[in-house]
Amino acid sequence: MTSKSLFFKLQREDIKRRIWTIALSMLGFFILLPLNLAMRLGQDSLLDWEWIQRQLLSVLGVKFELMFLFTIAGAVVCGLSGYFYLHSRKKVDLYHSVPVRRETLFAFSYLNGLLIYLVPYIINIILSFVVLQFNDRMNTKLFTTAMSTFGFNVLFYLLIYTTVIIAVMLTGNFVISCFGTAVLFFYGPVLMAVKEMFFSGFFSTYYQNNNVDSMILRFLSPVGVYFDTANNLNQGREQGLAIRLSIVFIVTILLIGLSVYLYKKRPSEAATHAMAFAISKPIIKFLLVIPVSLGGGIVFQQITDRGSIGWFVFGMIFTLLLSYAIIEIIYNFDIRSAFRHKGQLLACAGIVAVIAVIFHFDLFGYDNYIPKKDKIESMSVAFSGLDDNIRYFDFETDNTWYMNPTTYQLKNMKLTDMEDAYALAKVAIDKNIETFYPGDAFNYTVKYTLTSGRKVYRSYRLYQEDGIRLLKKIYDNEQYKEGHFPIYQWKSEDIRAVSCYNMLNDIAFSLNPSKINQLLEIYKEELRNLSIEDMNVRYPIATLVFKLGHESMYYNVYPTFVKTIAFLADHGFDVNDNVDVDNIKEIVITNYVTNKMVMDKYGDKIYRTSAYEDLSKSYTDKKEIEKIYPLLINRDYYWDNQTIINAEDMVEVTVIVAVDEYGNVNQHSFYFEKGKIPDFVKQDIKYVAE
Amino acid sequence: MIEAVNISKHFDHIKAVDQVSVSIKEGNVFGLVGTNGAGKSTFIRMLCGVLKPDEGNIRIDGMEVFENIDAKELFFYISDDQYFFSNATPKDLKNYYKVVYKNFDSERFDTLMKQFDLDQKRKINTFSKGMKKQLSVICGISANTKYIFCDETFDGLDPVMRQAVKSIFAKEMDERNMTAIIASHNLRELEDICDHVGLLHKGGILLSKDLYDMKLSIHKVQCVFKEDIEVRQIFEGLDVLKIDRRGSLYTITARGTAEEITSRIEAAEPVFSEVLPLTLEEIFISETEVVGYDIKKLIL
Repeated sequence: MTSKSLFFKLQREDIKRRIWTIALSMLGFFILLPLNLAMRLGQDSLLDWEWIQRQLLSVLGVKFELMFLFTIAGAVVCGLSGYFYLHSRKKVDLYHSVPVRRETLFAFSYLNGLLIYLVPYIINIILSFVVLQFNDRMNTKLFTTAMSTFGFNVLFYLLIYTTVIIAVMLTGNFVISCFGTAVLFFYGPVLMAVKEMFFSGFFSTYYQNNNVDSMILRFLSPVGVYFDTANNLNQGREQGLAIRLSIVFIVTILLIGLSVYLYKKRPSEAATHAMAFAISKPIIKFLLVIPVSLGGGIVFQQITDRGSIGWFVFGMIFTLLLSYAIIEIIYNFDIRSAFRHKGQLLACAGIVAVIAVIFHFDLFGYDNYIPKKDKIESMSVAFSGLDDNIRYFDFETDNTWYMNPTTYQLKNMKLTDMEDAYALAKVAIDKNIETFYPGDAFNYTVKYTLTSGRKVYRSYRLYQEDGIRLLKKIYDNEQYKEGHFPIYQWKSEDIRAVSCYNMLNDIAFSLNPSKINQLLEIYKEELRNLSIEDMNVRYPIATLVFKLGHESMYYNVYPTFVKTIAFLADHGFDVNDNVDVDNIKEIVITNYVTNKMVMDKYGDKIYRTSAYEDLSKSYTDKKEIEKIYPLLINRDYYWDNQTIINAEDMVEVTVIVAVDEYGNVNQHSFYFEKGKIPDFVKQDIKYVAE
Repeated sequence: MIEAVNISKHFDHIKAVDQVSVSIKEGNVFGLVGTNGAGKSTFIRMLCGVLKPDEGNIRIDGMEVFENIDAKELFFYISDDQYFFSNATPKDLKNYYKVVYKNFDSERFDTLMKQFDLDQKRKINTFSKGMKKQLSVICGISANTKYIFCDETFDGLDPVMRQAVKSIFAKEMDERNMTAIIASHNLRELEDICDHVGLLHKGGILLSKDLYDMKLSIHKVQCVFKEDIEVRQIFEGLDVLKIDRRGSLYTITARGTAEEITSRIEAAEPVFSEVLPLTLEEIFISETEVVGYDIKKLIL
């Protein structure tokens, strides 16, 4: 008998004993694929083909969350069932006494676990194709989508399946294996979440990446990486996909190697014990207790009182003792062993205390850190509350028309002339405003790209009077503009249409590509020269709307944009034809009482809504309108540029404009410029300064 | 030949087997006796390569057994609680062992199944404990291995089946020189089958001797003398282990050859004398007393 035939015979014998998993797999795939497709095709007569096609692609492609869950569940079931004989002494006695190498025992069980997923999947894909063909809906796109998704799911099945097997190898009891699997699935994300909580909780300059959920999810978690990669594919972010999949493949191979090694080294007497390897016990205990205790501290602090160090310390001690006791009880299956190995308990407590002290007192100077100027290659600065009308999206994707503004700017901006940006960062460090929402202050994020290639991120806060001078200088920097406004990345051929509006008019232009290009170039040139002073207007005189794909991008036109204004005029849009005193019919001013607003101890505004009153006054007299209107700032413009504009945002002004001779009106919302509410209005609306 | 040299095994802080050395000759039945927790199962699990000794080494026909397929092909292990695949029938089991053991004898399996009146198509989980033991033995015999390791295999078998199994073992030993290692907590179970007995106690081996040798060196004699005499004087120079008197009938257990003992009795001109066979228990009582233990406290 050759060893090859022994292998296949053993494999066949093993598969006979795993019929139930094959049946489950077959049934699951049947429901998820051919049956699901057939049911969706049943709606065919009612809906258009494009919609149906999208539905079919969502079943066969990476958008099908149920398939991911089924894949994960399958990997867990096959991983546990394939090797759980290792948890039974009498089964181990049989398997390890027969003349079969451990590698062979491992290999046929591993292969069967894969085949239990693979074969029913293939059969049901074929059945799906038959269903599609029968309905005359089969096409190349569906075929390639199904096959690439098959490869994708199989790769992640292998990764997750192997991870489950490692959990089984490390443990000696079914329940503990399940815990172990959960730990291997979610340890990374929990660790990352604790790290995020500590950094954001203790360091006022910590920049929490807007992509933090994805970072947490995919950190050392096979399940997380699976969902994150699928999500990226769903959103068309294919950049780096090949590298990521290659890494997944290599990691899977390494994990298979590790599984075989653990299987060979695993003592048979580990069956029924909590942990298979005595050496792993303290390591795992430390790896679990320390982050859980730290996380416990910060969770207690946050759900009780944000500033309370008492709750933080209590939370850490409580969670430390609880998690330590649980682990020891699991290790020994004996509640009396809860606090065994007191030295290890003290060591855990010591490490937790050291980490907590480092963060609480910022012993490494995280908040004060600024790289030396000669070590910085470039900087990026993203201000919040400045040009918030601009929409950002990732040029590397083809179907997601959104990107966080800060993320975009930090990614695309490279200030090599960085004197002002550096000085602004230093001012923020010196001023050290710790509250997150201080009044009249602005937030900004800085990325330092060091000559070593390392990237350092910090978020700062500054009061307007401390930072506005440097902000203005940075805004004048062309490199800033190019990273700040995505329009500099566009190609004119991407623009499908252009329109323009102000408070009174709205025109869609008929422009040929050459004219579009001309407008784009003119606008970009004038935008490059735009200063903060130029933006110090009550409202932009017009707004250009560029259509990219199905999305609209809004860019303001300021009075200094002479060439753009001329171009618009040449094409039928007169920016001067706008709301003015003559066409204002009425102004309604509403005071949302401000004297009921207080600041809490963290500097946050608290509005006493129980004492809320609203006091409105309508003005139709031309003279009053003439006094009021020049003091108003467009509401949207203010909200988009709060960093540089101050307004009385508790007093809302509605301007009602007559738009034609039939008496039709438009309404526009405004605020008064800060401190410029006329006295007669103050009296009328019972205004009390904050 | 199986040789275990100074093997030890610890489980956490418990010493299960401590410095045990045993040599088992081919064609013999080696009885391994000891109380529960004496280390019998651990010793056998090390013999069959399930457990790796912490110290010492075990060789079967000169080959290290742990993770050695060539060595493992030489034996079949029947554990004290044999595992049968869930929902499997004896036929399924036969198919599995046919794959695993090169020389598995299917015909012998079928014959023995009939002989023991076991249904090959019935699910094993419906079998009684004794039937499962019988099935294990049938598998072990049919595997056609040179050695068979049995851990408490006779426990649960009724006397008829026990005898049947013993006779099958005897036949196998006779026909193909099979060697059996049988662990049991019950001396009486091993009495009529063992050639060599090892006594384990608290992980260590108290003694390991050939039953034949033991039987040669200790004897029990029943005799009646014409008149009262001092029995110890008759056996002066010999080690008298026990003298029991009921009326004029003496039962004497003493060390020495049969000739030596009978010649001493004949010299005293008895009315009647007869050498009686010693039970294994009796032999062990005397042997363990030598090493300072009371066998009755160790095993039945």
